[in-house]
Amino acid sequence: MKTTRKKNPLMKRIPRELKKDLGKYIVLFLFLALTIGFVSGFLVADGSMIKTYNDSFSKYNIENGHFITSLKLTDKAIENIEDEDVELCELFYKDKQTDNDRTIRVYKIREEMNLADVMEGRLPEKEGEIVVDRLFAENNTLDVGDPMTVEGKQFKVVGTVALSDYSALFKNNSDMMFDATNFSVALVTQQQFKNFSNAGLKYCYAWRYNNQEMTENEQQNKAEDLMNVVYENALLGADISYGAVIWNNLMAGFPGADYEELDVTSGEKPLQDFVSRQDNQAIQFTGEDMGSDRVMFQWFLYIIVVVLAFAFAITTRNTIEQEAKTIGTLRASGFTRSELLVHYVTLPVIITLAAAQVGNILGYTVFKMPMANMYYHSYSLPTYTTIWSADAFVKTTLVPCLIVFAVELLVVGRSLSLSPLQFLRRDLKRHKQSKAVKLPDISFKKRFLLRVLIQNRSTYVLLFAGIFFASFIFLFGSLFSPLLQNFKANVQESKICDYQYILKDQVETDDPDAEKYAVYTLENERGEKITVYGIQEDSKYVDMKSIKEASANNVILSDGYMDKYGLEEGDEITLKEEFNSDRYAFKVKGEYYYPATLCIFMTLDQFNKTFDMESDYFSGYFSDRMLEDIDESDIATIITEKDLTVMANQLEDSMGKVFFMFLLFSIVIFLLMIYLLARLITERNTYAISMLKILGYTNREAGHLYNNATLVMTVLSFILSGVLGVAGIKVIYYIMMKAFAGWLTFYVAPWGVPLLVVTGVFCYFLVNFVLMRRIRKIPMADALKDVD
Amino acid sequence: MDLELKNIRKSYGEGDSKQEVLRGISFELKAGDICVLLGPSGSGKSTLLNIIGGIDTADSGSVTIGDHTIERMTEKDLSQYRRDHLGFVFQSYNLIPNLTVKENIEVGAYLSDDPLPLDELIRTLGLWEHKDKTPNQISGGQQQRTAIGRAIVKNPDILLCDEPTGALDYNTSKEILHLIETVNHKYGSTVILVTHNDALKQMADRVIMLHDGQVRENYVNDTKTPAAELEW
Repeated sequence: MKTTRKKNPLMKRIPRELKKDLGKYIVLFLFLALTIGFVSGFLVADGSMIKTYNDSFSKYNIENGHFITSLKLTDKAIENIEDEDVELCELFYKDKQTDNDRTIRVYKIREEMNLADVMEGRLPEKEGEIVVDRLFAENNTLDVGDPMTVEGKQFKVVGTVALSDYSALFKNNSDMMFDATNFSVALVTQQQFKNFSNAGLKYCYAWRYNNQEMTENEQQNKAEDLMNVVYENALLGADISYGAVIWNNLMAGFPGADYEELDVTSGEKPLQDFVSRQDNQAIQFTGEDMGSDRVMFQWFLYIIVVVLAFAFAITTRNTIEQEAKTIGTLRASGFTRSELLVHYVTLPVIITLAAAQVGNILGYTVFKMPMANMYYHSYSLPTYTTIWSADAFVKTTLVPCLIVFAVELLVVGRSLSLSPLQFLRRDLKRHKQSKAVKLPDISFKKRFLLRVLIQNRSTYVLLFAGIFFASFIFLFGSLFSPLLQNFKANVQESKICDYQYILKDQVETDDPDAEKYAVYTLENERGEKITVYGIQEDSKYVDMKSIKEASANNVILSDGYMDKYGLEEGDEITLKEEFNSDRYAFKVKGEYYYPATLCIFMTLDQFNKTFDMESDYFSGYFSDRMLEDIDESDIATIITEKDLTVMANQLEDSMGKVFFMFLLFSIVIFLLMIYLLARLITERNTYAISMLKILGYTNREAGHLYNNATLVMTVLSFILSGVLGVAGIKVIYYIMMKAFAGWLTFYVAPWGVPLLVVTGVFCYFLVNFVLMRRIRKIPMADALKDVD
Repeated sequence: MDLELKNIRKSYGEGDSKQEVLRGISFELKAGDICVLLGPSGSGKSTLLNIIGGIDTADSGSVTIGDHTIERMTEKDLSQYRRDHLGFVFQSYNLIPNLTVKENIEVGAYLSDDPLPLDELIRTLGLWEHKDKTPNQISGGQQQRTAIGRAIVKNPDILLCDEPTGALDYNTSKEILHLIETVNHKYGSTVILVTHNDALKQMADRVIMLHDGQVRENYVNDTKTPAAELEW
């Protein structure tokens, strides 16, 4: 009687292989599961957040844009504008200060556009009640029911809200970064809004297209047409002081409004701001950031999976080397290459698949909320609902399995492509090496070390790849905080003065410390705001000898401007008005160390000539002390060091935890890669280590002979990774920062690379401690048995 | 299946270092015979066995087994040919360490659509009591029995044995040779046994002695001695 055909019995090895190397596979499994869980949690949270964010546009009736006029629009003007197939909505606001110097942008409760999502509590119902942004409340430890003083009057916080037109709390659209600690939007009742003084009042109008089916491009084109109509209709009424118009024009980039000559009723340059939804950082920044984070996390996962896949593959290749004769026998008996390939690839793929499943469960349960909270900690997003994402599942399950499968197929397939006879003879070299590499006449230990390096060169290449990748993450995590600290220190060091006054009216001061200057905003070809300073030739605040040489259209550029756009002395730059086509060409005459902002400097005389101002025009004062004799109502704003470092503070606040996680994660990869590969080298040389012990070497000596090569390669890998990593990060940093408004000077703390190397060496010694225990356990009998 | 070798030549290396291992080997074997390939180290007997087994190729000449001519086969055909017709036993047992005795034999059975009854074979191999042990729990002789079991469970037409007793002691070697003889009788497989042990020629139906890559002697042994009675 003949037996029936069975399943491939080799598959019975799989659970036994797993059991045999359980520790190693558990480490790999956990690492993969946690990484996938982390990324899956992020993708789920991100996908759900993006969906919530996208849905918010229709759910909360979000504007297609808004504009601010110097004067309140007349009914006729509104009618004319609405004839352009848009619906207008008054969104007047007043910027107010709290007693702890925060800026609160107060609105009436909104009923038509940009509706609020109440996150906690309720909307105000009477005077004395206020709701603020949820994130601002969190950052300022404000709870529902707490008191809050705005414009000297105490309010009760009755709720927190998310306003989707302020998902990123940009005070001004030209700001480099939002600031959810020092700035908030707030809602009060209509009566309460009236009760506030009119200081800081802005006539803001939001619009929505009647046709919401237009594409983004069509909307942008429509917005350009609309701007002209708004511009023409913006000054059909007069209900505002001259000073406010002057100030608003200055701040919004409409110079030339000589207030003595300005005819408020003429309709001349009345538009302070015009921002379509697509250009509104407060709306768009969040969506764009979430989208780019998504891509970054995906690639982060894929790179880790590729590194792990190679670790799996090298491990499998090592097993194949050890089982060469058995493989040869099986091949000789008729097993095909593909049958063996499937066998050797199965376990890594099963582990990846299992890790992906567990990772996804963790992602949807444990990691989802911390990831969502990461966004909630940065942005003022509305209420979040988890959405099952097939896309996230594919990216965190199917793709990792495919990557592992493909890499295994590549490496293991290549290893198995040798002939049965080569396996039987353990002749596993693809290319015959005629003789051993000749080594110089150095000590035995050094030669031994070199032999181990040569024997395991492909393993060390993988070790370097893993360390390089993890170093990148490490450097990203460790360099960020010093970069911001350095920026803040530089800003402090290079600040022009302690108090930079921008005035609404040209008022004089008797303070001898004060120095007049002028400021204006243009934009470059990429639409980035460039501040233009006109300073006095003998300025005691701006130490710029070369400014005297800057005549005609020659200007001095801030170092950040030069750095960001790769400009050099002698280059020409062209800047333009924000809302019209006027252009200004300047020649770069020199560089001034002023990292706080992208700006150009010229003499005050030159400034006034360039912008057709009166010769005695100025727009503010530099001063190192408060100017007590200037009335508060004449001051538009006072820029202090805090304002210049707001971006760095916000970045530090919102990203600090993420970068700390990067650090931890990279250390785990260091440990994993060093452990897996060093162990592999030990396993490969078990027989030799056993033989060394028989010869009389102690465990320590035998271990050192093999592990020293790994130590050398680890240290070299970390040093090289540090150097290359910093260079790579610099390239990425420049690309990233060019996409942002503004500039943060690239800086690497002097301890950055040394810290990486020390951390790496520390990881090595931790791994070495574990490996030495394994080496101690290698019995001497290994060298005496099973020798073919 | 009859086996016919015609003028097999094989050399290694190139130029001055070129070494001719087989220099025109020709012989024929009848199906069901035990053939002992004898010769000193370096005489080319293992190379010849590998060529017959399709895991090495001759520079010239032909190997015909039944209707199959090996040198015309693609790698895929060769793999199928080995799968369908051949069994290999080597000096080193090359068992899979984390499979039991029975499972190691099942690995061979998997390759056949019509394998021998497993339990009966394990009893024939004298491994019944050890069938659930892994290779490191049994002796060298038992490991070689397992390797033979793995080779013959698919009931190959030809069993190729390369120094199967080379790593075994005298008594165990005799046990293994007896087993090979039993397999030959019971299942009718042709056996080609490579050895440098001159005494083994007594158990053969045909004896082929190689020397320096050539056939020195090729004769039919009319006075076969059972393996159990061999002395050396």
